[in-house]
Amino acid sequence: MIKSKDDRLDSLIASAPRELAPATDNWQAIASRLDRPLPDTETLPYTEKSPDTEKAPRRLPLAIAAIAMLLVLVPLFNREPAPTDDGLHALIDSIELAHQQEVAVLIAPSQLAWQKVGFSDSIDAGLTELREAAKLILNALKANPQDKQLWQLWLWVQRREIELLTQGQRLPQGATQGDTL
Amino acid sequence: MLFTQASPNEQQQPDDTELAAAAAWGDKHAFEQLYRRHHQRIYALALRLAGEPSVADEILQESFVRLWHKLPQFRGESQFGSWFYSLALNQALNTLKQHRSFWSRFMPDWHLHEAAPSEPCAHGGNDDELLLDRLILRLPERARLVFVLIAVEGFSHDEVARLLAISSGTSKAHYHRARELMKEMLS
Repeated sequence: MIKSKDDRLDSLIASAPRELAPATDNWQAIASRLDRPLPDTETLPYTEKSPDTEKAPRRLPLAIAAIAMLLVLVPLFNREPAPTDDGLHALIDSIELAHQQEVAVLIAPSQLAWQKVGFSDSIDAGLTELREAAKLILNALKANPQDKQLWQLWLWVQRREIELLTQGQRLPQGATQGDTL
Repeated sequence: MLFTQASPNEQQQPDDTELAAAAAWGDKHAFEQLYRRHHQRIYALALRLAGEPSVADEILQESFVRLWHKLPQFRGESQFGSWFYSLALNQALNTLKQHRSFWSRFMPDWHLHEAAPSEPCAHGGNDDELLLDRLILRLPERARLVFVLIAVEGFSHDEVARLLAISSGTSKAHYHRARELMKEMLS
């Protein structure tokens, strides 16, 4: 019996088609992107990782620009409310709770030393804008809990908040603007 | 070398290397021919690795956009299909990694699998052909990646270990688990 299942599986593998047709033609979507430059991230090999310490200075302005864009775009999502979905609302609440708990751990008093560093101001500003954007998106998501784009925006903003907090923690502990090396 | 004005009487189709050379010079018609020739092969890889048609579409599009930009680097020293396959595989793994890191903090695995459709594709194959892909879509992600790369794509455990940054033993364990799960599904 076991042998026959193995044989059956091997037979399925052997007869698996090498080609599958997508349900929709992707050519137009591809053609429309050919004249745009390739983003840097697309050229990275799979296993290549940039050190976070190198990414931080470049990513902060990008994050802030993205947040500004979100603040403009989010009101557009505040339109027709979809039918309520209790399951999704419960999921939203539990994710929000888990996120707030994670944030609370990251900003616990014992880990606040980085905030004394002068250049943490820009991180603080980014965090403030990020949290405002998150509130707007969360409200829109609760009104439209089945909107996948809103889900992605919301989760992206939460992830950025965690990343910014984590980056802040990597700054020299206990340093102040008057410190010398 | 352009292929936009090929004579209708011309019997011999340009090969991939010629099309790639033309596309590298900006000939989008040649590039579209490359797309028509190769997109189903790349989509099959993408769908089986991703387990979800929308992600497979994303991988397919990203792979061809990236190919367009990388074509000047293709010197014709290897088969175009192999060269592009390697590029697309890296793109697929990168895309899956991005999706995983994005969702995994919030969504347990079961939630993503619930989102997978019951009908994987529209290629119109017979029942047995569809059956394998249905089973693959129901595998956990890591087991699915390893199973597809080894059983369907023909990689060795050492190669899979390098691609996925895992040990060869882990690859074997995932493969064994995938086979056991699929045999259970066949019951």
